[in-house]
Amino acid sequence: MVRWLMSEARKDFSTLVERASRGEWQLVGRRARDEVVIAGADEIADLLAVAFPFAPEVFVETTGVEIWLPELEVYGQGSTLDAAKDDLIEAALDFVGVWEAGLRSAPNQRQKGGHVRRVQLARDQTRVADVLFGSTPCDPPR
Amino acid sequence: MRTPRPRDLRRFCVVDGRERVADAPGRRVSRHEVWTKGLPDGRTLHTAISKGCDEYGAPLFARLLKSQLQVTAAEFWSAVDKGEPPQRQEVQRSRPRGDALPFALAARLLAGGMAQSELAGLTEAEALRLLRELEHPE
Repeated sequence: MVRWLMSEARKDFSTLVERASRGEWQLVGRRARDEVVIAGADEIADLLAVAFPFAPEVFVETTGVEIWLPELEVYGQGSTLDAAKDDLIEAALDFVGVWEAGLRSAPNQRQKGGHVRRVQLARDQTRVADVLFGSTPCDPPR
Repeated sequence: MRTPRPRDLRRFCVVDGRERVADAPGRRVSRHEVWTKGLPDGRTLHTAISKGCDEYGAPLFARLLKSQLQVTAAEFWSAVDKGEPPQRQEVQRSRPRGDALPFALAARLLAGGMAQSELAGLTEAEALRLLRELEHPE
């Protein structure tokens, strides 16, 4: 792992990013203290995926479908599963915004950080759906 | 089990003294109303009300009671029907998992002469304040 002083990192930022994107983590700090790590976003996302899995729970009601996401404690509702999925994605993105804006300082919300970061790293709605529900559909019951 | 409509949840949030977050930060159009409430022990409760829903099913309502609302069904309906704010005695008695003191903080307070009984029930913020007073007396 490469250690950079802040002043060096500033001068050679493109090299630092290039190495990070190749999988070499770059530590940047002042004097002997490491302050930030620059690493490939995909690698971080993969590591977080292992440590912070999502396990949404689906309830099919006579009036529609509800999905509960225990890791973020949010839900989505809709007349169909797809509509409930879309609603849950919106709810998760709303939660991420509120969490980042201050909820994260509360002791009962701080622990959601790993799952929140996974949603943040997903970048767009399709990838958020992959993160929350998995990218491959379940096999239909036989 | 009696299940609520969004307006019941909204009424509960008002009676419970929650604050409405206008729209989730960074989101232009939000499909959920977000309400928050800070508790005396430092925890913050977060509740989202889906704008597109008509009614909640029993399993989802049970999860909302336990996590987002942190009240019993009886307390919820008492707030909605009679306007009685919930007391949350049960929740406040039990120390939440995330509210434990960090080991290093507890160790420094004890090494500094605090008795164990004085640390019982402290939140992390209270313990930090105590440590500052202990290590930097004015």
